[in-house]
Amino acid sequence: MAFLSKGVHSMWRSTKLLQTLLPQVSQSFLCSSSELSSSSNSESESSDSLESASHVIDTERIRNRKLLYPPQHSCDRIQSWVSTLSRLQDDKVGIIDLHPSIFGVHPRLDIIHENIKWQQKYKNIDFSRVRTRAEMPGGGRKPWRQKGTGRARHGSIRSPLWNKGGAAKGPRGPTSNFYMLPFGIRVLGLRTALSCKLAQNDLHIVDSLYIPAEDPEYLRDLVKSRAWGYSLLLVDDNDEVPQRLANALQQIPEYNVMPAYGLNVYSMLKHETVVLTLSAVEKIEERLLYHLHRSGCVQQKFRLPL
Amino acid sequence: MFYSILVGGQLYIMALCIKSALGALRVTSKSALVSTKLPNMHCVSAKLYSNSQNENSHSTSPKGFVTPSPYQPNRKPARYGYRQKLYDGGLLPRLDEEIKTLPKYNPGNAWSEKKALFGQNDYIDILGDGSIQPYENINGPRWLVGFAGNEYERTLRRLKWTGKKLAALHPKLNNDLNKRLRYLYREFNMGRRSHRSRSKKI
Repeated sequence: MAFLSKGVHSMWRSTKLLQTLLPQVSQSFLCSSSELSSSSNSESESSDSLESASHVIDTERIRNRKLLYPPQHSCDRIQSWVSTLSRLQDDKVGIIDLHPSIFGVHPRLDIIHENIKWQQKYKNIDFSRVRTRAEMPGGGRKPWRQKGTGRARHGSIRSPLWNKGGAAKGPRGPTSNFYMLPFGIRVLGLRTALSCKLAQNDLHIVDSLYIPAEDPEYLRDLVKSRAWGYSLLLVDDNDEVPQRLANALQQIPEYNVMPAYGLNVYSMLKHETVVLTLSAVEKIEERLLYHLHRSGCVQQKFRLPL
Repeated sequence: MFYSILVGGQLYIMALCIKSALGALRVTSKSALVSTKLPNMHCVSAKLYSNSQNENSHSTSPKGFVTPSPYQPNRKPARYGYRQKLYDGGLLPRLDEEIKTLPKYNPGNAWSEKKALFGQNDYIDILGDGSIQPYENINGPRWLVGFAGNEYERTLRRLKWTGKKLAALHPKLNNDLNKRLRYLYREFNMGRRSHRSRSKKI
């Protein structure tokens, strides 16, 4: 158990080992989940064990999870631990299958780059604008006659050659850098980012966003004890954040929470660790698999409705 | 307390000691100086001057009094009132001046709310129910949201969307945009084959 919990992500690919271990693993989870509710376990008698007693971990849901569009080959199997935020210790409460076409695609860095660049560009509007000679006041009169003065010939004091004249080829008006990356590339970008995060042991799955204390130190200690790094992105299916979590996150700018529909490639790369709830995993898989398997043109060109 | 008095082009430096409050008034040329407002450089020159005068005159004149003589040159501190810009204080650091350096590195807050949540909802058409498109996240003029074009296309679209309002409320801007549109049309199209004169056609 100890070595499994340390290096489980790196060993997911070795399916034979997992298949041999799985029966034992699932049995041990059954035991631990039953012990969670009862206070007889000596190890779990920490300060937060009483508070987490009010939070019930739905182990049935974890165990009975089934994949949509199940993969045909068993070698494609990808699994992940499910832990919980309700306890400071990194106790595993289950193990689930993840869909290989969402969490196990090839790490295409070019696709991630395209997606990041699109996110930075498509919303950008440049408001810089300078006036041309036509838009500046005055300048209609010829400043001096064409011949006989010994001076250079000029026709307007607003010529671009003049000091305080109009600008030639300056920035013009609000400009937009808008473009839409093809739909399929954006779907692939999300899949690639999720896969890379998982392969690098930076993606974790929890049962819910329940935390027993609204003290931000609890969350900091939890992240530190699990070596989740500097920044954290929590993703849930729900729009509403639990009150305690919201109070805690308000004081830590590096830890952020996002609904599943708000997930994007840029945020996944900006935050060191991404934590998905089980319902968020189901929602994300359902949406991405729907777009992978639906009929119709995925690569259709974007047209602005007018 | 010190006072300096300028009389008849000559500077007599009088010292009014604190003791004078008791009634003992002493006038000395030896007790140097100094108006408190002068900078240090002038203090130095005034000191030198008073010392040199002491060597010449004090041997003959009674102590504590200098006779105003017509044969004495009109001696006063050289270049009185002149502020020298160059530093002649020797090999000392310029501690009174602020040293010009690079501005202090002041990085922005990378985890402000705007930056921490940058990019949220950019994939809402994929992960959401499909009723919202990403271009609806854009803040900007409505005629420009979800649109990219060259200046002619932008001006045309702006006038199409907001032309009536501009004509009523901002006639100068409306006039400028129409002028620009005419200019850009000529710029883009007049060199083309269909707009050339018939004699030049190949």
